[in-house]
Amino acid sequence: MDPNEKETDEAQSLTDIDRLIHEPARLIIMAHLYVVEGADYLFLKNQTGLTWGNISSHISKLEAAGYVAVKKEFIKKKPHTMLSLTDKGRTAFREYREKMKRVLDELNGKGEKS
Amino acid sequence: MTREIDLKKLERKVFTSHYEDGLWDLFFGFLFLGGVFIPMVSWLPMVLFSIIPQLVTGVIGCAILIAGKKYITTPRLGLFKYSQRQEARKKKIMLVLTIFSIIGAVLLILGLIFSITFPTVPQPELPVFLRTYNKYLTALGVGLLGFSLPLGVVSYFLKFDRGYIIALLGGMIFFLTEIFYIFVGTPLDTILTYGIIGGIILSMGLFYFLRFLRKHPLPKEEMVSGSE
Repeated sequence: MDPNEKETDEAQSLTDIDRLIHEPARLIIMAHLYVVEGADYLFLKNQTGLTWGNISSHISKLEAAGYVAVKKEFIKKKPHTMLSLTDKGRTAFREYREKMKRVLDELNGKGEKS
Repeated sequence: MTREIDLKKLERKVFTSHYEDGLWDLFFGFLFLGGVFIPMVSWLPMVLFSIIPQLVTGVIGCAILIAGKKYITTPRLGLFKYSQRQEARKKKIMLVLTIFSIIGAVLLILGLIFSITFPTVPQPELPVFLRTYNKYLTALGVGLLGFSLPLGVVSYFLKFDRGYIIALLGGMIFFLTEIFYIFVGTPLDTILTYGIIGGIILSMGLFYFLRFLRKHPLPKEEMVSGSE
């Protein structure tokens, strides 16, 4: 394969990364939701260290993309919101991780050769 | 900048966050402190007198654990739901815990019976070392096998790191009682051992509990509901 062609492919794989997930705060939110079935805002705030406003804004974006489901319910007459990854969100996160791993492996390989 | 996230490490961090509150340590602390009252019920039949005080303080500790989780920990840490895979794993752990608890209870009772009847059972075929120190080795063996090992295994599966310390301290109780007996006799040997071990574990629990309260103040209700 032509080295220039290979470089173009590698650059392409970088631009193919899901930018919605790639943002650090959204990435850490997605990662935490990935390892559980569901969680509430307070849990995410404690685990991620993000502010309420930050979490709220990022969750809105992820919900708009169909990655996160927001379920409002009542627990003992008090409103409560549970967040969970949709199937689309879980698939997107898995694909993101695989792509990032490929990109980083390629970069590491390039670094060793040079 | 690497974007690799170790999901196993993250999962562990999520699950172990619920041990931050020190409530499990408080439970075990209360359970062991019950042993301080064993000499006060020594008039009851042997097996009963060793169980009742710890049963009572164990129930108190359990009530504190359950109420604490519901009214203190969850409102501060938030809620999460285990995945189906994790639920299945939890059920397996509970099954292992139940089996170990039964084995541990049986070993403890057998050990108690043996340690009390041993002085009257001559064992001339044993080497001198074992004849002399049999009582202490038995006490150590029963404690470590009957308590430390099961709790250690459960702590491993539940990722409860402080469980190893509690397992080791709890397993030393019978052995320490035998040691203290040499210096202070009965019933002070029992009171001191359970008081010290229970006190250490309870103090550990209190330390983590107070630190947890400082680190995680109660959030405003509208923030929790996500309607901020």
